Amino acid sequence: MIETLTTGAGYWDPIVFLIAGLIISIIVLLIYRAGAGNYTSEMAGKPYLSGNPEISKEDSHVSGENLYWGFVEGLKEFYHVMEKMHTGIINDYILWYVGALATLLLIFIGV
Amino acid sequence: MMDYIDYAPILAIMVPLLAGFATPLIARLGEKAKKLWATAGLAIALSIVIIVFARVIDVGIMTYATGAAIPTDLIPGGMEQPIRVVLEVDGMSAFAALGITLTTFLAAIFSWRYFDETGMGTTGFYTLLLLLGASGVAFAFTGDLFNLFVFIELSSITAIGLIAFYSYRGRPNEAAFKFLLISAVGALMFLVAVGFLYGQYNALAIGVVAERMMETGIGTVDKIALALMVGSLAMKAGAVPLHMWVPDTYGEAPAHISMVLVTLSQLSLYALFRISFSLYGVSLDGVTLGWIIVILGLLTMFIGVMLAIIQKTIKRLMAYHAISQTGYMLLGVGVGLVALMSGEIGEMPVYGYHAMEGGIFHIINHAIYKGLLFLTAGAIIYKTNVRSLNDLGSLAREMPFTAIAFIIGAAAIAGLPPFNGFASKILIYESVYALNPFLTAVAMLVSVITLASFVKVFQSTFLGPEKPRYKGVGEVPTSMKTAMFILAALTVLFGLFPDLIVDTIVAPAVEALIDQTGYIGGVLE
Repeated sequence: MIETLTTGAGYWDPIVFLIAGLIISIIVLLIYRAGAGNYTSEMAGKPYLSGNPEISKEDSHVSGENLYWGFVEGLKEFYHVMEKMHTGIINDYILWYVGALATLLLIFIGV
Repeated sequence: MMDYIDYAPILAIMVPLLAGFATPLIARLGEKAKKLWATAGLAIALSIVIIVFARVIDVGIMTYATGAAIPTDLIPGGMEQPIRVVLEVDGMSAFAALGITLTTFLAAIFSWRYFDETGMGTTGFYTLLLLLGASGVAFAFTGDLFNLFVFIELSSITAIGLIAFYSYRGRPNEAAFKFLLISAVGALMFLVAVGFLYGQYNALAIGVVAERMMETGIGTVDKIALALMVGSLAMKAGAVPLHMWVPDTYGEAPAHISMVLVTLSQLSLYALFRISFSLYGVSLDGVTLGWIIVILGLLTMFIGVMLAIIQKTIKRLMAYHAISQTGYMLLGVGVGLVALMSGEIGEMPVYGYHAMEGGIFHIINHAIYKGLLFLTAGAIIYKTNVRSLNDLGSLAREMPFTAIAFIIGAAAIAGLPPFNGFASKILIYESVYALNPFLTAVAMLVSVITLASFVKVFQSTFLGPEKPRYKGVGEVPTSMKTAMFILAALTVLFGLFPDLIVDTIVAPAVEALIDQTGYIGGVLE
């Protein structure tokens, strides 16, 4: 009744995917169960931060702004251009619209 | 012989319209009566749209002429064309109406307790929501260019009121004002284009104009009208570089209204596709328009996701993702339009057909998972009153249901299997590859960055050590969980049974879109 989705170049069957995922999960569970059963969190010891004191748990949370800092820093010139484009001023929005309309008119009339 | 079901298209508009106007009266019976009334009105509208969809699949295009003695009698005796307001519903129109009725209905459920904390009256909210539902269905069902303009305006005006709902905060007023100006300018340019076409063809019914355009061939005035309509509808859909109003409005509206605004933008996409295929269709050099839509799609998906990843507030980030996802729909349908020119209508290359299936399937999938994500954002803001990703954290402990709903939505938008976003994206990836592999490479890169940015939201909002300020905030009320659950369930079901969904609702929409002769015949026969 439920057939696979034909994409033109191949097919996609989520049920097969789920069955494969289930089999992999069972294998993972078996490997996990074969591990050391006597492990407790106390055995991990304290983190070593180059001799610096450990910061509080709450302060150690990586907030949204800190994530992908390197990605954003690496593309800062691109983001600089983007920020200049996105002024938040409605006059600029309308200017973009007028510019887009002019471009479309040129393309369509020119073709 | 008139069948009662022939009245269904007009009923799908009139039920929420009349329910909206009656809401202030019903509100006098009490809060609960008002909420039940609004939810029931939108539930009935959704049910009627489903009935219309089933009918359209079964017997083909449905038409309705308002005010006619026999409503299916579109052209009065002695006339050459329809003179009344005509509704023309095919698979694509019914598909578009499905999205707006589903999201307005779920927004009504989500609203039950959402405004309790603010102490604000909700009579105006429910009235506008019902009117937005009615104008959205009318937008999808109209077969008339002038009424398309009217319903673009009507849906925008109701949306403006809903965006500015938190008027005491100030910023929503600014967002609504921007939306008002953008919508008004776009709609007026659309009206100018309608005027051009009316001057050329002495008709407003899309089918009649399309037939006359086929006979005369396309001229400069038609091209000017097309440019005005494409520009206006691309702006309303939030395509880059005309997208800048989107983060402002989606970011400031109540979360469930942001969900409805997504489907409202999709209605503009619907109108863009309707104009491209049903109105201009074979009269046009579809390769040029197709490539314009493809380039718009590429820009939209890439710029949208790149700007999403740097956002610091949860709803603004999601708004940029809404822009980005629109790019996939434009890409799929744009490739379809290019492919259509490689063969006659009905004989288009297979990859073009599947690209269109992917683009159209992505519309409904996006409405579902983006709606879910906006609702989870609403749930977080409802419980914490915090929007900044820098200030949130550790909420998975307090809000496990919302966290799971978020994971489902995030996995779907990132295109992870087996959720619904993956099913439509794989259709797009594989079919678009046949036209140009570069397009698929960009689409896949965008999905990777999408996943990265939702990992950022999940990490900064739900994970991390327990924050004392959020200890004991708890989960959202049942009504809000119900709306999230319905969307999460649809996300999973559409992902697990994509073939069923494509065959049932997507393929009829695609076939209706590419069958220009059938659409014209719907009015003229």
